[in-house]
Amino acid sequence: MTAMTANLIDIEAGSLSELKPNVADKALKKARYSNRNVPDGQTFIGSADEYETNQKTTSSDEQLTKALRSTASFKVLQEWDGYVVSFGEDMLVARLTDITNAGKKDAGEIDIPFEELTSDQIARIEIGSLFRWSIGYQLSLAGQKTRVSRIVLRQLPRWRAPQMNAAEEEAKQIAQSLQWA
Amino acid sequence: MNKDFEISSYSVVLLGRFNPSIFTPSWFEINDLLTKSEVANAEIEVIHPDVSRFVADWLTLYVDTERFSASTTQPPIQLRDFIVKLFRDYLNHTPVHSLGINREVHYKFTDPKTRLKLGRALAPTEPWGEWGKKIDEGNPDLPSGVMNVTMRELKPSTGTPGYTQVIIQPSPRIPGLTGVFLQVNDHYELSDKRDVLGSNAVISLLEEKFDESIERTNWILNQVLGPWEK
Repeated sequence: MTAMTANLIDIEAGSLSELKPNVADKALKKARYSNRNVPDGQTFIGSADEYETNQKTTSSDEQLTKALRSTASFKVLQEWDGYVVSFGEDMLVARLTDITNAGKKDAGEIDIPFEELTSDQIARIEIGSLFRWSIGYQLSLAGQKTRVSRIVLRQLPRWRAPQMNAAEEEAKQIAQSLQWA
Repeated sequence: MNKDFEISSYSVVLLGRFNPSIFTPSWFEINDLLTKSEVANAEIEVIHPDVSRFVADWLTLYVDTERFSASTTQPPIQLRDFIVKLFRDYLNHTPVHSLGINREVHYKFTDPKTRLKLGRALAPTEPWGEWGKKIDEGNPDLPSGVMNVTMRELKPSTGTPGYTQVIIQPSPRIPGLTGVFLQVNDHYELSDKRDVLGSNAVISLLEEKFDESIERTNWILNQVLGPWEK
């Protein structure tokens, strides 16, 4: 059984409260409380700003407690945007643009071994795949500093017909405005 | 130059009307928004019609009926793509009226005196009269002082309404009187929240503003913390 299913309390509408009222109340209260910007132990009970507080778009630092166990911070030293030009059995060839401190627009081609990617990422690789490559230091809560190379395959939304039509229209207009010497 | 932060996170918060019970790790996996391995190790705190909350690898997600919040301590590009794809491809009819692009950091000064200097500069004790003097004359090993400063800059009236807000507090996560917590909230809201039919307007704002907002956040953090340590 995976950690996910083991920890799953219930996803059926309403049944959580009926079956395990204490668990449900506690989990809901904790989840809701920790999303507000009210530190533990604070003794005031609301203010004139209460309505606005509910409309704020900040999140609570407390929410990250579990995530902080693996990474407390990531300091980027160098970043590139890239796209896959070709790939083989154990590596890919990519063209990069340096995006750190207004670096080179075309930083050339590079071979990236598949060891840099997860198996899920390798399965998604195709020619033209876009990615962001970050090299930096990852800090743990205990203060341990590790040099890390992290590749994120970009997840872009699907193109929809209106966008395709608009792009086609724009391309036509550009083509018509070109004046050949 | 970016500083070394003990803790650094990014979050995007959306306000609107949400259905929390659909936000499960397996739903994200089915729709290719999270990978199999990210979902396999997900830690779920609660999934319920009123609230959903879980951590899956790089992502911490919280959703209640009025609020969607996604956070990460990793480079923020993944967070942006995740939210844009989620709402563009699957939830474009979900009404969303406000957007917050946020950065939260905990920074450790080299010594407590430097932190106290920053605190006194942000909130001088003189305007507090005799009580301010008592605060100054208190125990030097356990100095009293400011607990919270909030500074807000309104967006220009020509664009989407909103503000940039910075909160500075002593860090509860860094021991030894050397830590400060800073939260930068870049907030946008649609002019008429009642007429919102979907998420497209706010997600377009996110696409347009995200990179600029993150860059500006770094600049603000450097402006506030930069002068105090050479």
